[in-house]
Amino acid sequence: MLLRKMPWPAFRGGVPTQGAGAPAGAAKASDNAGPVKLIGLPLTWAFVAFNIFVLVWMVMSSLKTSSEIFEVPWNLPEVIQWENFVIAWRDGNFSRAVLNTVLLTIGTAVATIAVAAPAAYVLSRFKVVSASPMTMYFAIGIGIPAQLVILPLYAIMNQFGMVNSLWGLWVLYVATSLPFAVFFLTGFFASLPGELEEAAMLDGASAFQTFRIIMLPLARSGIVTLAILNTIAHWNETIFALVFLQTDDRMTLSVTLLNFMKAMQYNNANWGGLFAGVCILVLPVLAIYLWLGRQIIEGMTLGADK
Amino acid sequence: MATIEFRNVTRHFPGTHRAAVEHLNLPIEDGEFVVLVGPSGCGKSTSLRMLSGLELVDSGEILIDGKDISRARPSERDVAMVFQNYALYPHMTVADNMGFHLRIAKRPKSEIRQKVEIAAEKLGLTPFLDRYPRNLSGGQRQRVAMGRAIVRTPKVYLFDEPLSNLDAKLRVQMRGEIKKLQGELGTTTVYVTHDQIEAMTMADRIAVMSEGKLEQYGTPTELYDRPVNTFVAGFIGSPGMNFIEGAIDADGGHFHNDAGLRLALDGTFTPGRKVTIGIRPEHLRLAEDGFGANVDLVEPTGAEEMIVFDIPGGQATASLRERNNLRKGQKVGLTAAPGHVHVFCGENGNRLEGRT
Ligand SMILES: Nc1ncnc2c1ncn2[C@@H]1O[C@H](COP(=O)(O)OP(=O)(O)OP(=O)(O)O)[C@@H](O)[C@H]1O
Ligand SMILES: [Mg+2]
Repeated sequence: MLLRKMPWPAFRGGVPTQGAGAPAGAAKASDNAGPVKLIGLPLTWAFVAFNIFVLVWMVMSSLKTSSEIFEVPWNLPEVIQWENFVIAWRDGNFSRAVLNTVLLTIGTAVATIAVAAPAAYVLSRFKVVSASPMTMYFAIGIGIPAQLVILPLYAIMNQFGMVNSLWGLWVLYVATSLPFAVFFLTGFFASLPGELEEAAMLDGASAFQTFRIIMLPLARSGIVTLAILNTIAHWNETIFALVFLQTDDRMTLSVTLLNFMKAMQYNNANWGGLFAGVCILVLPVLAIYLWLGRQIIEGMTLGADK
Repeated sequence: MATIEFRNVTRHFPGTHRAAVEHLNLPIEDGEFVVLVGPSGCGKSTSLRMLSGLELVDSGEILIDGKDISRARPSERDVAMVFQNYALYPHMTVADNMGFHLRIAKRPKSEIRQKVEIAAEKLGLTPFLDRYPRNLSGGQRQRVAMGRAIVRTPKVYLFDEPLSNLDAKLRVQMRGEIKKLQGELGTTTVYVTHDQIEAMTMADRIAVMSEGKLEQYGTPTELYDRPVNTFVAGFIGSPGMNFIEGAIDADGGHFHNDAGLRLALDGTFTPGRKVTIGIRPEHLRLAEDGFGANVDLVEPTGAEEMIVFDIPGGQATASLRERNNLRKGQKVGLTAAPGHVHVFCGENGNRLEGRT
């Protein structure tokens, strides 16, 4: 455990390496070249290749005419059909949906972190009797599938007049994000050394100052990871949006795409336009992954390590 | 400027079988440099942390300047602590680390900058003020941790094994610097270490602890010359004191053991009493008329020779200044001046003084 790579670079300076831990840890790390690696590596590559293939094919198809897609599915588009994107954007009512989704996604991520970070900090640090049952309680929440609670939730939200409202959906998103967010960040905060807080305490900082000035910046990489995962999850979220939103002006991207698909099926399918719609949904997320993938993985493994 | 006093202080962690610190009484004078020393787990850190307010006090009082602060918040005690792992804020520059207390206390920026610069100057940290802790060597981090403490000009400095992460050479250098700095600043200091050499070289007074209890509190010379029991006797001094079990002769002025070793003592003791005598390696010397000893191991250190002897009833280590060219198996006579033979009770290990 001592050898665990610290993803937040600023941190390496703070904790001197414990020489004694090194030999044991190093020996452990090098002996996992067995059958798992032999089978796992080709499998992983096959999976990656398949995904890349699907993605490329999707983007290609979004730039073809419908007849091209069926007649020469593997060829490059003869003439690039940019208007597929125009059709999707206009006919599918995507512009409104993109705005809604962006607002909802960002709003959810911000609110989730604003609530989860202080909660997780307290759970990881303050040795109150209820801390560990509360952490368990949050962990259990992760295991509850959305489909299971959707009907009771609908009844409750209806009573509050929050059906068909982006605010209502936002509340739901934040609420359902919290279990994982709190659980994830609790592990993160627990991995930060307690001496820093003691030093801050002697320096005269209040608990809140310590959290804001010392601990929060140190947990940055965990928080960024969480924000990214949260954003991706809600960018794609369909079930709640489908059930709780009703009118066109309040639709999110995923539901809009679904509706667009239905519409396409009825009027003489424009498959190129449909693929363009899918691209509009998928490509931003992909971009985020490509841009911040390293950060996500580092944050994830640190959380998992705890 | 501050005096400190531990009065009957006890801390018993819930769920542990013995108190981490038990009935500790420790008066510390203004400007004094006191070192708490003892083996791992003896309660040094707990004592220090109770003084800083990071640990609860179960019973007893801790006074700073005569005022009981044992229930005050850490921030109200005006103490600064240097941690073993330095506990520097990794995302702040050296200057920000050092000025953090003043920043929290809402002092004006210009004052903070000025005080930080003065402290940095003292510690030779001026070129590093804009660096982050990760870009400093262990010794420099150590200095920053001290800088953070001195910028504050607190009533008391607390150190918890501040040198244990440094290499041997740097450790010797830093302990000199800390001692010198403390002398200049004149601030009351409590310093924790498990290294008795560190304790001996730095302290005005040393408190030796074992299993949560204070064994002896005194100046380094007192501890060395008149250890109150076998624990302190064995703990202070390196290499450690040689102990030999046996009894007092019928005349009361000599010690003997079953294997036939006999030594003159300083003063007279109760004849026949079971005792353990202790002799420091540096007080053993070769003598024709001494007790018989066989050389078992010779370890030259340059300045002196460390020699392990088989003696009647056990082994003893001697450190000899002069070069004697002793070889393994050689037979010699060993002795120690009566004044250098410490006598301890054979049952409880407490020091016994001879009547004169
Ligand atoms: N938070 C705690 N909970 C329970 N027991 C503790 C706690 N902190 C310390 N102890 C116990 O109290 C005793 C004294 O610990 P302390 O840390 O004061 O020792 P120390 O003298 O500083 O030792 P070291 O040289 O190893 O740092 C030990 O037996 C330790 O296990
Ligand atoms: Mg300790």
